[in-house]
Amino acid sequence: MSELQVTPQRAPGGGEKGGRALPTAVRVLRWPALIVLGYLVPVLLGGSDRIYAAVVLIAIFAIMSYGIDVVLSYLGEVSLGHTLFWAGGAYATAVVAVKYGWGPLTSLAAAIGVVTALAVVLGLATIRTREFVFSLVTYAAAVIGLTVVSNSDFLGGTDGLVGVPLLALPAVGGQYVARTNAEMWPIAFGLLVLVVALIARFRRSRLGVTALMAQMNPQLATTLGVDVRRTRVLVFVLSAPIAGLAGWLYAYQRSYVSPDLLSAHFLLFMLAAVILPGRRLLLGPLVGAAILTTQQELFSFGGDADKIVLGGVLAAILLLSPNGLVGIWHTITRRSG
Amino acid sequence: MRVLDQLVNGLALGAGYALLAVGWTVLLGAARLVNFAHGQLYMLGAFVTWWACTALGVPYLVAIPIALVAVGVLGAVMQLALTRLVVEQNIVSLMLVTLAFGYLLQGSAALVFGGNPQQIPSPFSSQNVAIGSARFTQQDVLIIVAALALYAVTFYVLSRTGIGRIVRGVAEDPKLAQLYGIDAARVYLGVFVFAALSAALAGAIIAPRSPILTSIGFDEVIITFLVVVLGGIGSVLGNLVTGFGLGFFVALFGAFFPPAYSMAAAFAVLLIVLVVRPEGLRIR
Amino acid sequence: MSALLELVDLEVRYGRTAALHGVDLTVGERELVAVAGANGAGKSTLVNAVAGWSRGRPAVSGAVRLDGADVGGLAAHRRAASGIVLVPEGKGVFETLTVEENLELVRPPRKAAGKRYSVAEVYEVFPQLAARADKRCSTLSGGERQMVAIGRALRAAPRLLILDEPSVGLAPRLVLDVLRHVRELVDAGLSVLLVEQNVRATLEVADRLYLLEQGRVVASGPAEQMRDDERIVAAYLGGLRA
Repeated sequence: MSELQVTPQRAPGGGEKGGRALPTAVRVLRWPALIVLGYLVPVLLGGSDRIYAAVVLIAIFAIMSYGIDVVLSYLGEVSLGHTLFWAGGAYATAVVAVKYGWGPLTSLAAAIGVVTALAVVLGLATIRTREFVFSLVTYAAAVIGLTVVSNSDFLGGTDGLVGVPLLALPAVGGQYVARTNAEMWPIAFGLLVLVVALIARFRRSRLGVTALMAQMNPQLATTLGVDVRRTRVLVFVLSAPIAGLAGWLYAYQRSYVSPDLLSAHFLLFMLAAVILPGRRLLLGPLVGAAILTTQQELFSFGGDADKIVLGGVLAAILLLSPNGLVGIWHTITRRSG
Repeated sequence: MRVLDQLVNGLALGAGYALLAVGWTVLLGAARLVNFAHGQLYMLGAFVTWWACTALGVPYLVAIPIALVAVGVLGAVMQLALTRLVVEQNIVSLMLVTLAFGYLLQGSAALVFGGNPQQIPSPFSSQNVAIGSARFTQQDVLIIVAALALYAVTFYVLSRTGIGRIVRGVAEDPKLAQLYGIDAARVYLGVFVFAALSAALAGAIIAPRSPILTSIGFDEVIITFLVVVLGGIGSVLGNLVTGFGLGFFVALFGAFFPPAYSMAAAFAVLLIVLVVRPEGLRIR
Repeated sequence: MSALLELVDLEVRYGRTAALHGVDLTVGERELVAVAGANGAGKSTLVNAVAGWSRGRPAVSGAVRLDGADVGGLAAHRRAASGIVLVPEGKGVFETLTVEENLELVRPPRKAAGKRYSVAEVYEVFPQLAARADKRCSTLSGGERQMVAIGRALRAAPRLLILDEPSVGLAPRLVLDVLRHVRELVDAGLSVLLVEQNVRATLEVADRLYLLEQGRVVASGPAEQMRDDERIVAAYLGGLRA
């Protein structure tokens, strides 16, 4: 992908603020410092098992949310079918690992392959639909996926597939085996950094700029020689492996997969993770996933009440401040001068 | 004979699907509002009916209006929260908010009504009617009659009355409607409440066919959506036809294949239709 | 002559840019007042501010008075009820409805502000619409649609009728035809604010004319005088042969 000279338009309040004003040294060291700091977060919080479990889940759910973020923030379409890619990645992993004894790298290839194929089919089928028809078809795809998975003996039915082995990656001098959440953390964090870097690259890429143009003004984009439909399908297909990657990791972290991966819970979670902080922010989905996971893991009110919290938070933010928490922040700072 | 049984079953199923879809298609046509909580309103219609029958001890036919009032009020509250988004035609936010509302309602219903499957005690479910070798219950007859009656009324009101002209006008151009002295926000409220009432009615009279769970709304909206998109958005007659068509399809499919996959098969048909004819099978 | 519509120091801003700077304007009873100006002069902004009909949320200051009462705070459908009725530029009718349905859609307000027109009386004003009563408006010609739009407005019993660019998309011959109908309505007792780019046709029917440039009134006066105003001649009538 070649770089365009155009800088992508930013959402009101979006983007990294003040990047140009910072001294060069700070600018160069900013990201490495943030990465080191991020890696040390569980240690700084005390390093208990509970903390490690929470941060690993935050990383996994953040990656999952980055998948839908690409479509929601940059394409401006509401995909309600991304649970299909998330669950597809997890199920593909579980099937090949449990039934055929594949290792993590081959299972990753399988997961990416399966979800990309799903995304191509769904993307091409919805190529002529927009707005609510697109959303409805993707939503229907996820619900149908749920019924199929729940009733398929091959996929374990309502019980799902249990016994996904430990995540064991080839390493210098043997294998790195993630037995605990603490041992899982370096892998989860590494993948998270990789995905954020990918999103940052995407935002500056020709495809990212084109997607934003197609969202803002499809007619204008067409006159500038952009194939809007092709852009939509490409971005949609690109987003699927990101969610699939999260599913792959989740299968190992949880050591089983079940149809709940396709439930409305994960759909609402990924949507809220993107929308709550504010759309089109590079670190938005990570922040959103962190807030939501912290509530559910550390301050849970029980399953049904958590549904009310998640649904209520998403509805409230959309009704009160469609630009998310950043939008609220900007309103406050503007008022105070 | 098996096929005849399934055709009769398909008639009742199809009437149910059509009943579930009528409010949604009017809402989508008039207000361009996709209500993802429609299935949860259906679920609440069913559960309030069950609650009124069992907790209040009122007869089934008295429980239905109680459910209608409860869900109608809830619908009005939802629409009042949504008014600004509808007037701005912020379709993305509307979809997401209604999805969130649905999830919120599902969680609330689970807290209030519990997580166990329940059965609405309708006196009509046990009364059989036989046509030749095929049997169906009075409940099935009730569903078919209610669906046909509601469609007839909706069609008449939309095409022949002053209210219908107003709704069609707002559907075409809400901004222009203001100049005709029409308060579009009130029309949206009315249409939304109508949609909520029809969902509740569907829940109250279709749900006695099988046990109900607070999670059923999730699937119901898919059926609605299949009917509406295949029938043509906003086309009342198209929805009636596709509702019955889908009913027969599901019934016959279930006779020869595992019934769990019937919706998946219907969805596959939809995908093919969308590729070939994105505007649906509109009947004008 | 007391003013029916009175705009006092009307200012409209979209964000930081002002689209109208302190406009003063009056329309008297039984008067046909025209507002002319180039694209972007603020004509549409003026219309929207008077009719209360706008998608954006502009900041409006100054007064909009109808018969001395401030109507600036009312929503569009309430202003319509108080007698300010707008025929918008471009699409002024529901195309999926028939002529008669469009006319019947309007319920005359209980306390009618101006003369009530029945559907039959609208057909008397525009006889050619009667023959097309059951036709969908999407099948009508541009001139006929404009007549339906004006007829629709009459059904709302207006005191002040606002016509926004009625000539857009019409053949020149039809423009004058429509405007002459408007003149007849004024002679029968209606007050009209006509916003038009077609100044030549406008001057034939209007009583007074305001010239708007960059959000300000730069000239105003009786139509006969304005015909000779050098700015009008230069900007709008200049292409004429001597």
